[in-house]
Amino acid sequence: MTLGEGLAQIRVRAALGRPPQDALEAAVVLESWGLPPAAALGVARPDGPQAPPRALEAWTRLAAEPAQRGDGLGLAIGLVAAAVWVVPLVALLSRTAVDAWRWALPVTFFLQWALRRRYLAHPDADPRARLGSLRQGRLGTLVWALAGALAVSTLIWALPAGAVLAMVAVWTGGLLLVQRGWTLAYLALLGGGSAALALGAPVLADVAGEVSGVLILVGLAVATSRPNTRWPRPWRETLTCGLVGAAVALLIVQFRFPANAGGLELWTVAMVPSLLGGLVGFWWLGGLWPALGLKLARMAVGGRGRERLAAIARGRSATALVAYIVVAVGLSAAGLATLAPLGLTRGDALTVFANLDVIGLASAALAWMVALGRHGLALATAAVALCAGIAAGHLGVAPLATDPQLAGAGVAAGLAGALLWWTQREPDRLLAELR
Amino acid sequence: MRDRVRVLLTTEGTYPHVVGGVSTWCDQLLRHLPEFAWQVYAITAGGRRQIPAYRLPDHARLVTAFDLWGSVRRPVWAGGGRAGRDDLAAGLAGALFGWDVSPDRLVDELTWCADHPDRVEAAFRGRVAWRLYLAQLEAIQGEVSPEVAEGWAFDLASAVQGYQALGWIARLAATPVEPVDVVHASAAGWAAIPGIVQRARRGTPMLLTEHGVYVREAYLAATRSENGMGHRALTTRMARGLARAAYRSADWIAPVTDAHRSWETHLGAAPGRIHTIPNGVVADDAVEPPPGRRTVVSVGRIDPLKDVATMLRVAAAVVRRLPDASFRHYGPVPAGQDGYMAACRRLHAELGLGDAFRFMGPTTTPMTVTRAADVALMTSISEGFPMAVLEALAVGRPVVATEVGGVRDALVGAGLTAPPRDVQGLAEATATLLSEHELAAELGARGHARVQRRFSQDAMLAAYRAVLNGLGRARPLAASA
Repeated sequence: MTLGEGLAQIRVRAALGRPPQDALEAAVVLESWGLPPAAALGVARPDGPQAPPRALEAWTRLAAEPAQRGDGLGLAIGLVAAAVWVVPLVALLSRTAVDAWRWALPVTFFLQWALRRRYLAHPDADPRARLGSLRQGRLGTLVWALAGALAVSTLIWALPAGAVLAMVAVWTGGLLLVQRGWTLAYLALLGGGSAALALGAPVLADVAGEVSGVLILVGLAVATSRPNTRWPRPWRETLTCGLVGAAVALLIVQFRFPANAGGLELWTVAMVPSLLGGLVGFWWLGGLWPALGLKLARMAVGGRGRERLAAIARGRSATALVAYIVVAVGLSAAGLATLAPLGLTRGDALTVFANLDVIGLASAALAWMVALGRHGLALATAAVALCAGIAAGHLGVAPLATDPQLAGAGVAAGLAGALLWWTQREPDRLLAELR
Repeated sequence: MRDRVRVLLTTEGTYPHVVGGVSTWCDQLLRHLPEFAWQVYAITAGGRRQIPAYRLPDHARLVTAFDLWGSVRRPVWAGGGRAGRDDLAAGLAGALFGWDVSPDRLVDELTWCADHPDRVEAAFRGRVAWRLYLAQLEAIQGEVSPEVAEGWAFDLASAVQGYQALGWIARLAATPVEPVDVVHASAAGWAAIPGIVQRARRGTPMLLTEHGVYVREAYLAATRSENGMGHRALTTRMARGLARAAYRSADWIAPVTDAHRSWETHLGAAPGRIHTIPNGVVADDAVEPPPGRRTVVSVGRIDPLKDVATMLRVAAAVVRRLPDASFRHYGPVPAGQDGYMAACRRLHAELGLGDAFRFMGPTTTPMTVTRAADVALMTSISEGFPMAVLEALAVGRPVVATEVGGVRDALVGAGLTAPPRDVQGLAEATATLLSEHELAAELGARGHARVQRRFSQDAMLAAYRAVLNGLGRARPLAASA
């Protein structure tokens, strides 16, 4: 078959519905029409200007995907349930056990942040596949062995020494169960355990039952997950994120409760506004990538408007901050009114809420920094904040005598905010450097 | 002199993790050429752990499994503390995406990565590296060539994807490779990178087998895509850049069909280095006639290049004419093709095919399943020298196939062909062979004889044995390198 150059161009244009990008694309089309390769490569030519950039399919699809609001709600319920569970527990234990949460929280946060980063950084849309990575080979065996050892230790050591392990197991297990979509089962287990305690069940038996229950549920959750062969994130990144989480928890455990602040009950209730605020803020931030991707797909390299990208990213971050403040402050105000019957002074209650709201903000900012791939920066920020908190406590320079961690959390939030602002000055590069 | 020539076989999305024609070919080489010390370097993509689908023979070992886009394990060589090279991304972009650029530039950039593995990670971080890269893309957009359309531009989203892809190319080039005597690349794309680097650094000879023309397949994929020019340019130019460097570096280019030669020489391969080695199979000793149950079997992965949509339409057209005809398709769904599979299932439902066309999943015994057929069908829009066609001929089954790659060479007198996407032509041919048993049996017998005469496994193995020995023993062995 022979074909003139003009006829070839017409044929190619008709087949593609647009001019070919170059001679090779024209040759491919001509070949599929039946022209031998040598002849096709001989007559193929580009033809006419190209259409302007168009959004990539992947970005368009991503932008169209509905946000997973159900997951956020599940996480909130799970966190609150886990926090509430500790109240009746410590109420029935000695002072040693009350202090257990100060040890348990950093360990838990370390494990939660590390697990999230290593295995859940890119969660599958299907909850049944999210924990599948934990089933892989030696890792699965290790997880099972650790979980079993933890349960046995708890039972053997008994309370109150085992309280740390119990809290770590229940809180860390909670993260996995919520990710699996089993929030209601988790809630039912903790609620049942708390109710049994209130009705006079033996503390040791109750806690051992709950720990075993959570571990069994986690085991079932992992075992019934679909195999997931996604590569885990690197260990260096995992450990860095775990340490950031531990630092956030250390900021919290520096907390010195006002003398008549009602102990952990207040701590638990006061944590809710920052948790929900963080969830709302993160949900809003999560929309940045698809929004940014669509914008990038419509913007030509070398064209105008690249400088506006920073405004888009920073604008979304600022809006997320506002959302956090509105939710956290609003709920804190409601909490202040609710807690008046506990006999707290307004100043004490305000201190508690303010502390936890600022820590929540710092935690969210650090988590966002991690999500942007700036793990080292997040760890450095957390370390500086921790040092600031400790120094403020020792030197007595904290704004309020009871809240050295407010200084630390304030430093963390401020520093992380400034660094995030600076990091987002070139969002296209930020995206390009993500792995 | 060393007893056995050490051969590094590099694969891309195929052996030993994915079942298919190229994997079958790899398995044949490794299993039946035990006189070589085989090492396999498997490059995969998808961000997931790959589970081997083939067990390597004892004289072969998997030395590297490099997973693009997802293997984020930080290798010890990656370092991180050392300063990068701000213009590495820009240099790679210019060498890969530029139209009128010498392939030697890419060879130099890849070699730099191999020489400085501890500086690669840092080279893809920082403001300066990103800006130099964008400036390089702008320069490429401004190139004037009679072969390239004017007035186009990369979009920034494609630029981001390109930057990440270049990072993976650099990491792949920087991955250490044990000294070997020959690198045998199974594709002129990512799989050629270890060979290009070893050729430049140690003088290790490189053999390149090309099953489908890498560049052509990249263009076919881009042509079907709905993406804009920037993204199409990114993917096709990356394939073109890699293939040109592979052709430049290869000491021996072995396409599986003469049909590839035009493309290879057009992209810079020296004609004197191109020597076709067709695929080969072990044919049955005797041919049994087709079972006469009007069964059509096709074997191939679920992939747009295999044009399963056309196959479904052909089936619908045949079933309208011969209601008792049944179609069985064997083949895996590769990573990333779930969407295509879903689209095929939707089309299957729209066409009302029901049990007349069944997706049977992957098979490790393609010849056995093909024996149960009256006709073997292949609707690909791009092929090299398809194993599925050879295997059908080897068991004496007539073939209906599209005229792509080396199909015409394989099928002379042994099957019927039609242009790609010609539903009516393919359906007519299939229905004819299902109805005319004598014709089907005769074509099957001719095909069987043709395979025994021209495309035997022994002939293929002998050709590779000679080439690998020639390349591996023609230079001082690399033990001291």
